[in-house]
Amino acid sequence: MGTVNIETVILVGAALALTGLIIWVATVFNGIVTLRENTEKAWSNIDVLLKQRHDELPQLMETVKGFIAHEKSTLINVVEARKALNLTGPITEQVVADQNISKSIETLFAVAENYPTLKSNENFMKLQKRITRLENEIADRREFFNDSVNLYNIRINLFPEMMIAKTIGCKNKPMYQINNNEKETPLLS
Amino acid sequence: MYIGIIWICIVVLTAAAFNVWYFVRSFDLLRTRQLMANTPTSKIRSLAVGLVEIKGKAVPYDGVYESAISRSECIYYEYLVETIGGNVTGKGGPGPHWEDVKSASTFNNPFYVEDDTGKILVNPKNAIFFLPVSFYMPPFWKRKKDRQIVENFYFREFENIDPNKKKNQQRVEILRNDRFHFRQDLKKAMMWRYSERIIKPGDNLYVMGTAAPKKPHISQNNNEDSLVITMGEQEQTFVISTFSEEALMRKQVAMCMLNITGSAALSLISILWIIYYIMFITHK
Repeated sequence: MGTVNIETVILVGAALALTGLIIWVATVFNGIVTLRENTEKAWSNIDVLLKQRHDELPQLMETVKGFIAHEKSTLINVVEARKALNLTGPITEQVVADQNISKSIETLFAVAENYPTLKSNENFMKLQKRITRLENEIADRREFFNDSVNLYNIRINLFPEMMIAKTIGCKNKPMYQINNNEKETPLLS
Repeated sequence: MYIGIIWICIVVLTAAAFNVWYFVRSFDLLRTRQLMANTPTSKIRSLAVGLVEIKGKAVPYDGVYESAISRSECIYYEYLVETIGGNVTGKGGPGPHWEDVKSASTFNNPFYVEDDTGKILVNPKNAIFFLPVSFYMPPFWKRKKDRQIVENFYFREFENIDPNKKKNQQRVEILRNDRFHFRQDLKKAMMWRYSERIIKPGDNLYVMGTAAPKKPHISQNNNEDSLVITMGEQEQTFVISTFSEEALMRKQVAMCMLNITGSAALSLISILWIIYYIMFITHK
C-alpha cells in the first residue's frame, strides 16, 4: 500500500487556503462596491424627486401670485431658492439648496393660510397636496440615503475590510445633515 | 480490481461534485444575507423602482381564505403532507424516511403590506417564504378531532374537482354517496404527518423583493399606486417572512454555516480519498 506524501498534503492545504483568501477578498471587494453604488443610487433617487418638485414650483407660483402679489419677499424667496438648486452640483451644495427650497415652500404655505380665497382655490389645493407629498417622499429618501451612507462608512472602517477599502481608495461619505438654522424651533409670538 | 477502483472513483467524484455544488449554493444563502444587511428599509410611500426591503403588516387583497388543513383564516398558506416511506421493519432496503404525499401553496394570490406611510401590493409568485410552522399533526393520530381535520382536508382536495371530466365522475359519485373509500384511505392517512404555514391578516411581515411597475393582470384597481413587489428579472432575490430581519439573518447564517462546514468536510474527504486511490494506483 502507498503512503501519503506529506508534501502533497501541505501543497493541497496551501492551495485551499489561498483559494479561500481569494474568495474572501473578492467577496469583501464586491460588498464594498455594492454599498458604494447603493449610496449613489439613493442620492439619485432623491434627485428624481427634487427635479419633480423643481418642475412643480412654477405652476405653484403662477397660481398664488394673483392672490398674494404683495407678499413679495415670500414669493421672491421661493423663486431664488429654486434658481439656486443645481442638480448636477456637489451633494453638499444640493443639500443646502434643497433645505432652502423646503423652508421657502413651508413659509409660502403658512402665508397662504391667511388668504381663504387662495386656500379654497382648487388648483392651489391640488398643487399643495402634490408638493406636500413630494416633501414627505424627499424626507423619506433623505433618511434612506443616510442609512445607505451609514452602512457604507461602517463597512469601509471595519477591520479587516478597511485594508481592502484603503487599497481601492474608499473614503467616508458625508450624510445629509440639517444645518443649525433648520434645527431651531421658531418662537411663536 | 481496476474496475473496482474506477467504480469507487466515479462514486467519490459524484459525491465530491455534489458537495462542491452544495458548498457553492451555500454562498447564495450568504449573499442573500449580505443583501439583507446592506439594504436599508424603505418607507412604502417613497419606494423607488428596484430591489427594496420593506416591513409592515399583512393586509388582505381579495378577502381572506381558509387554510387547507387547519381551516385558519389567512391570506397565504402552504402545506406539506408526508408519509413514512422506505422499510420501517429495518430488514433490507433503504431505511424509513419521510416522503412527500402532497404539497401546495397560494403563491398566485397577491396581498398588501402596509406600514405607517402607505400600503403596497405584493405578488408572492416565486418568493422564498420563511414562516414558522403554524399547524403540525404527527402520524398515528387517534383523537376524533384529528380525524375530523384529516377528513376535512381529504374532502377539500376533491371540492375543486371538475365533475365534467370523465375520469373524475366516478370519484365524485362515490364521494357524494358513500364514504367507503375514505375509510379505506384512512388507514394510509394514519401514516401521514401534516404541517402548515400561514400568514394571517395583521401579521408583521418582512419582504425583500423588486419594486416594479404593475402589470394589468395583477390588479385591476386603477386607484392603487403603480408599483408592486415581485421577483425581479435581474435581481432574483425575493424573500417573504414573518420572522424579524435579525432573526432571519441569523437563520440564514446558521443554515449557511451548517452547509459550508458539512459540505467542505465531505468535499475534502472525497478529494483526499481520490488522491489516495490515484497514488495507490501509481505506486502499484
